[in-house]
Amino acid sequence: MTALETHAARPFGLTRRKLLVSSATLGALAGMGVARAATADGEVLNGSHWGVYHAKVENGRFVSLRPWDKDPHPSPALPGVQDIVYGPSRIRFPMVRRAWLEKGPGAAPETRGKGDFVRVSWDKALDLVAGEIRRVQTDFGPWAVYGGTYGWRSAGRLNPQSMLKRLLNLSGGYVDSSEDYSKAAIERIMPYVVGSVEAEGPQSTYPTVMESTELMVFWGCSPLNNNNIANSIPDHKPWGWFDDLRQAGKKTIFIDPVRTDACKALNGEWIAPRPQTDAAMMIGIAHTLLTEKLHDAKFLADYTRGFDRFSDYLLGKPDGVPKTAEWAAEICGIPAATLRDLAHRFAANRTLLVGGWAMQRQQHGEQPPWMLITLACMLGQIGLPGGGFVQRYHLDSGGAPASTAPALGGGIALGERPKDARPWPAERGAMVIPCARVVDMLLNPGREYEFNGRTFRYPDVRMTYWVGGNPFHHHQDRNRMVAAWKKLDTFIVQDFQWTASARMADIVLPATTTCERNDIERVGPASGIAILAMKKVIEPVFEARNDYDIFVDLAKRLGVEQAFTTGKTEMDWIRSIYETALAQARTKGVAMPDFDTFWNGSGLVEFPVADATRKWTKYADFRADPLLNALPTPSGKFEIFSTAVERMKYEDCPPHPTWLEPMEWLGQKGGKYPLHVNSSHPQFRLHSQLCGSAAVRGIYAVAGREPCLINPADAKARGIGNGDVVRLFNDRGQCLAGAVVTEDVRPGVVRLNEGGWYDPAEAGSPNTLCKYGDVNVLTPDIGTSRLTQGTSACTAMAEVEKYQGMPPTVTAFTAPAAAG
Amino acid sequence: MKPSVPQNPAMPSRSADIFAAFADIFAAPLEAAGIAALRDDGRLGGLAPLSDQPLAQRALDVLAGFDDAAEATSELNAAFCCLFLGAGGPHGNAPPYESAYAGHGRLFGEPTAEMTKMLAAHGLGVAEGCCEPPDHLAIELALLAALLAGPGPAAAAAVRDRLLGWVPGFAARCAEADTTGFYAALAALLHAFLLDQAALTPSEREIPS
Repeated sequence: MTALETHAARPFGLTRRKLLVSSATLGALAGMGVARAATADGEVLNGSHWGVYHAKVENGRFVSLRPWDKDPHPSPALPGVQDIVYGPSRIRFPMVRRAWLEKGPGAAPETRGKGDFVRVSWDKALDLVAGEIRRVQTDFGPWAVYGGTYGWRSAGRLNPQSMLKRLLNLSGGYVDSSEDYSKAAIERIMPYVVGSVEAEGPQSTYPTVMESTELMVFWGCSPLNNNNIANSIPDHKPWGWFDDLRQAGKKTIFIDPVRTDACKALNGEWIAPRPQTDAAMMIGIAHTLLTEKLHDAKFLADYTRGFDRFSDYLLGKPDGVPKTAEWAAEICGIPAATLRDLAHRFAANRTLLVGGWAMQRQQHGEQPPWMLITLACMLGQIGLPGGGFVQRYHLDSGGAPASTAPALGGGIALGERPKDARPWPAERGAMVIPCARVVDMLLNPGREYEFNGRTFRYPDVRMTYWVGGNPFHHHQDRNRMVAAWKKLDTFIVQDFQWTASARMADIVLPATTTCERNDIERVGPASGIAILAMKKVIEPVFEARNDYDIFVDLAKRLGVEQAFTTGKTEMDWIRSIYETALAQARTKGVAMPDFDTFWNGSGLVEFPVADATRKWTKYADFRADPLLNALPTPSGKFEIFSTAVERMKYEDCPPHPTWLEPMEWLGQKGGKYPLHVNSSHPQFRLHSQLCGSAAVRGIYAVAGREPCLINPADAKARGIGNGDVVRLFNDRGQCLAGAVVTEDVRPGVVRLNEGGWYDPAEAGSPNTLCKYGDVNVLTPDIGTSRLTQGTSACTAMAEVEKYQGMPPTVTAFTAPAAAG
Repeated sequence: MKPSVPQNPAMPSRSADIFAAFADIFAAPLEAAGIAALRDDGRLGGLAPLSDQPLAQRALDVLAGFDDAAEATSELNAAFCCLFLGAGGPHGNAPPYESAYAGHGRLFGEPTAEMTKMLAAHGLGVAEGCCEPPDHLAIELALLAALLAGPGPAAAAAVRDRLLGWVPGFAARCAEADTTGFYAALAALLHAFLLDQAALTPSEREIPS
């Protein structure tokens, strides 16, 4: 057979792209080892943020998946994992924004987001990235390189963010980020209250709740939502726990502006105060406990410090305003009689107060968690089985009893700046900023800011390199952010898909998904029920490369390869992560195979639940002996009043739990916008991850857009019907959404989950309409307070209207079937 | 004396040229030199035989409407990246792969396996430097062009019918997502040309000897 070639038409003076060659040619190349090795047909066990699954491979393609046999409640979003790998939004090859490529760093920043990218080779892309890191380090300094790179990345211990930070450290240093967008307020206030972050690690276990709790209060918390996912791999145990709770007929109260699935599952009592008023509501309940002498004075005396100052506040001594149930009712909108009744019931029962994190993701976010613990102190049941408080049931299956598993570390350390690195004088600014202050940093180089009792200075950042994150999803006040981002000379994004952040970038590097490489991870963040080998399912698609290989090539160009790798390959790192855990297991007498047996065998090691941890109550040891097991606070006790905080003299964070009126809220006199915007975590995504999946969007999208829950009364007043396209707007921005009219959201509140992909009608244009439903066009970009500097996303008011124009097309991914 | 070959776009060698030109258009963005040439040429280069059709005129109007070649290059390149390279996200793309128009719309579906077999059956494969799966529009069009130029219309019919199975859906997506209108017009033009070719009688398709 004669070799066929593509026909050489001669249009427009282009060189014909050689798409097809004779297979004889290919055969010859294959013989030289160029052809790709295919993974064997069959099933491969792997894991993701949505759970463990079996991936089916046929002729080198990932054709289907099924959940792990032992997953007690597979997530409906799991099929989206295939979309992660094969979605049309995969980044195909390295690309550079045309203006940046042709005119250099900082060229035409107002054109970021348009999509005018030029394909370059990997060598060229890496030369450009390394060159830019070197240029900024040399011409400016490490304070000009922002490597905070916040984001949830993929499951797996090979952390590309650690790799990036290690590289940046070795090449001179960088500005890092601290805290997170999840619980920054809690993280920084809890050390003053209990001496630790508190809302992490093991929590009082489910069996203790089953045995002893009489009344469960889920305050802004839904364990059946975020437990679909986990930072590592979820175990999905909360569903079984909820079955137990339901069968036992446990009494539950859900304090939430939305009647969640969790509330419905338990036929819970639904109380919906005005959002952001939780601290006032708790304070009003506390007042009843105090004045009716239902509080546990002995517990307060033995285990807490500062209650006397707080009770003065309750009784109105400093400000002349007693914080009665009536006072609280006026603020939160729940009748005083109900608040009194709650106080009576809390005191009369073995009560567990379970706090979620939305109520600290708002202006003055420190107050609700501090007050929740104060309430628990007044009830005096902390450390008793089934009583007290918990702040991490909504995530990581926090109450699942821990297994005997050893810890699974992260392997790649961040390292340090070289000894001979350029000095970093104080006037050049902080080496670390609170992650949620990134845009403030861009807008205020050299300006001072306060944080946790000290004063810092914002550095003058010129470039940022982001991996494993999507800041143009998680950061607030999108328009402010787009404007501020112009300041940067260079924005590098390394990801597997075209997120809104990748589209705003100057240099885009395609990374592989976890299915295209090897990794290792823990199943059950709290329970640790297994360690899983995340074995490669398919070869990389397009020109995607593993994060590690990308960073090694950059390290070569920056002259730090040996220091970066310490001679290890990617597989060596996986092995060392496992072997560190194995060494720990051996000292504890826990059975675990050696690495090769593990990796080449089933790839799964399971660990039994330890009897000792099955019924574990947090703070029980403190209660048993508060001297020997003192809390790491100045007094050794729960600090209802903190002298350390008092010394900071922050008006926006007083030294004891306090009601502080938010800048915009439902109870505001003369507020401009009438509806509170609730932006809780979505049910079927992990933040913005999986928004690119048509299959998963099919579960929840309305009119092809992010769904917006609206109460029937609010909808009727605005002529909005179920399924209508609506426009949400305030002074900060505007977006479209699809209306879901439901009694499940209280009047005055609309819910638009965070994570909808930013889809600007005109990229870069101020106040452009987001066509899909990115709620962060509406949210404010202010710190929770000067103490914690967290995100205040939940402090947002807006208006909603039926969309007047022709809705710009956002069609479902799958085109209509061809007419043929 | 050899009879003159009629200048008829229906003839396989001519239609091979045209399909090859379409392949080129959807394989990669147009570059500055090529766009300048097209604006000067005014007849869509390798698609010249179709340039009288309204859809072709629409594409030409878009080209002529830019202030200069630099603006045209930037705008059309952005459109290409958003539509065909994934940069437009799930709401602004028109993936040029057969797999995207079947099932859940993921890439690397069954059509990739089928195309690999079809290419192999004709002694062909995707070039090593090309990282695209074999159900990419440009590759299917390149195969069609090669078969029309080589073995002839009968072998090509299978590929042409395959394309007719999904190009209409692709063209519809382009129409929705392409803010410039250029690629939308060319995708529709391709659809129309495929239909024309499918409707021709066997004798109309033969090259007179």
